Amino acid sequence: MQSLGVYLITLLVSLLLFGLPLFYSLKPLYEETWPEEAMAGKKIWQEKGCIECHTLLGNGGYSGGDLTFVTATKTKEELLAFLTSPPVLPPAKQLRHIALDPEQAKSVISFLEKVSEIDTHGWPPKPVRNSSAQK
Amino acid sequence: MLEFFLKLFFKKGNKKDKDHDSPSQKASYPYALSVFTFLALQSFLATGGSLHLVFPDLPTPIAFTSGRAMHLNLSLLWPLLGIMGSACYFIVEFTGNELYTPKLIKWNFWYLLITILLLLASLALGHTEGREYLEAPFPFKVALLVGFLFFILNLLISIFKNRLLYHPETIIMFSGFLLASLLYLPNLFPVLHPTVDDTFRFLVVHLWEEGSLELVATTVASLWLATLKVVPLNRAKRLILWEAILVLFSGALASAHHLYWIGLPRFWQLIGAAASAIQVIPIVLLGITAFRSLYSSNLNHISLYFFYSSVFWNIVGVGLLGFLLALPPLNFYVHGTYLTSAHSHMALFGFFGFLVLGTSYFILTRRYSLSAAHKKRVKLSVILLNSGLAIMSGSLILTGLLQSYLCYVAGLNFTRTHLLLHPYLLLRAAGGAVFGAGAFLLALEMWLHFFRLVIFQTLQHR
Repeated sequence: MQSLGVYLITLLVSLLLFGLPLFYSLKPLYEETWPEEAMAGKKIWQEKGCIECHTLLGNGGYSGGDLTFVTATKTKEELLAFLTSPPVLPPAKQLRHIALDPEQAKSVISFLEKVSEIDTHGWPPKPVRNSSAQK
Repeated sequence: MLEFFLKLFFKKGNKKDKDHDSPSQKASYPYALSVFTFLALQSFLATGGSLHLVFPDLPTPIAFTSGRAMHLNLSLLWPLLGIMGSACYFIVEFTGNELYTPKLIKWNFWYLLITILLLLASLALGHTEGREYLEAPFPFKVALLVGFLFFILNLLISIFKNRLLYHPETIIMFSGFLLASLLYLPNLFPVLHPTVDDTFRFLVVHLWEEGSLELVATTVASLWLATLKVVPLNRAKRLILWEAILVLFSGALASAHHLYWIGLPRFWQLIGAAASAIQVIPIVLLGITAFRSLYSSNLNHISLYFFYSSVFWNIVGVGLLGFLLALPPLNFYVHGTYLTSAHSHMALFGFFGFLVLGTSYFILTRRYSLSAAHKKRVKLSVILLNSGLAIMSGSLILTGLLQSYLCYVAGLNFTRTHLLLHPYLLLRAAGGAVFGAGAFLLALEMWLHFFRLVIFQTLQHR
């Protein structure tokens, strides 16, 4: 009986210890308002199942690369061209990235622009060396 | 007062006969059998998907995105079904009372099975909510929750009916299931902000397996060991309580290690690191119990192979690797790499999956004498599952370390990095194939056992 009491108190305390700071951490984010286009972009992002290949904030599939800050490294035009006329993805000889129509592509880019504003405390790390092998 | 209320509304339930499985226990058989079947399906999908990563032009009947979503959903759903069945079985075993309605357990299984099959079909057709592990479209999520709540309601009425309000093991299991359903709730509805979205997701992805359902799993495991007389009942009961308190205390806060870089304040790094260190204590406790049990003279049931596999992966994958990955300075360099994938395979299947397989196997075979050939094939399948998982997780660890080095030290771009990772990913696919062979052999063996059982019972009734 006594031990059950200890268990139930631990249950309550641990939920409060976790839940309260989480609530206050998430509250300002939950109340953020996003442009219509970015909201539509998130919907498309989810409907197309982009997370199965790409990571966002480091979470998702690892076969397509992280897109948290992709809008900081590629121009809007480059991204639009990639999404509307997708190239063959190496090492594939035939498989292409899925194609979006221009409106969908603009929405997804707008969503990714909003994502890039999230403070990730410096993640992902900047490379120690700038490899010339990329060229 | 409480006793008066209980007498007024709940007539005391029937006692169970110790030498035979009761109707409630028999109703948990299909849950146990489905575990092996779904594991085989999952390993088939996963091996196909891992091959597709290396050979993207390989023709496949379903899209890679659909296959991966099915794989991830299955990794949560069959352990859930299995632990539900096992909880029913062991609550009846240790309280000596029938559950409120065995019929509801039976019908709930068919309802959940049909829901899961439709959910998988929907994912295969490309309908997705696009949230990792929780891709199932809204109606299926609601349907799953309804089935789960019926199960919880059955447990709750059984607790009242059988006067189990002060029975720690039952209350721990009940609170674990209730907590799991509460953690699922925020994931029913769409959320705009990716940080909030990910945080809600981890309430299920992390906290089911290392919190709410772990409460149920460790309780079930302790009762299972006590049934086999591997651990004395008194010690098992003490273990259950300490495990539960430690799991609760560390599990919830340790999920903070998923929140370091997703847009939440920095103090979560401190919370995550500290709680993840405490999380190692229940793992060590379980490890010590498992080690002590090795001296028991009752180590004769083959289901224990699954238990010791689970303890091994719990120590290595959840304890050691999980602890290292939760250190913020290290996590900074490995977050978003294949190392996380290695950890999730070892934790979700290695620890939790093996435990559920073990209790399910025990439930299905306990009352029957097993042939030497059956035991041999089950041993082989356990070896294949463990070897496959070791190859998979080993190659994923190597892939993750190399990926981190190439991206964050050498500064290679994504495409070049990924091409250099291919040999290791191919090794992962090979590990998947070994694992898949084990899963198929085990599923086949359990179905054969089931048919033998049906024939045996039919002949007995004549």
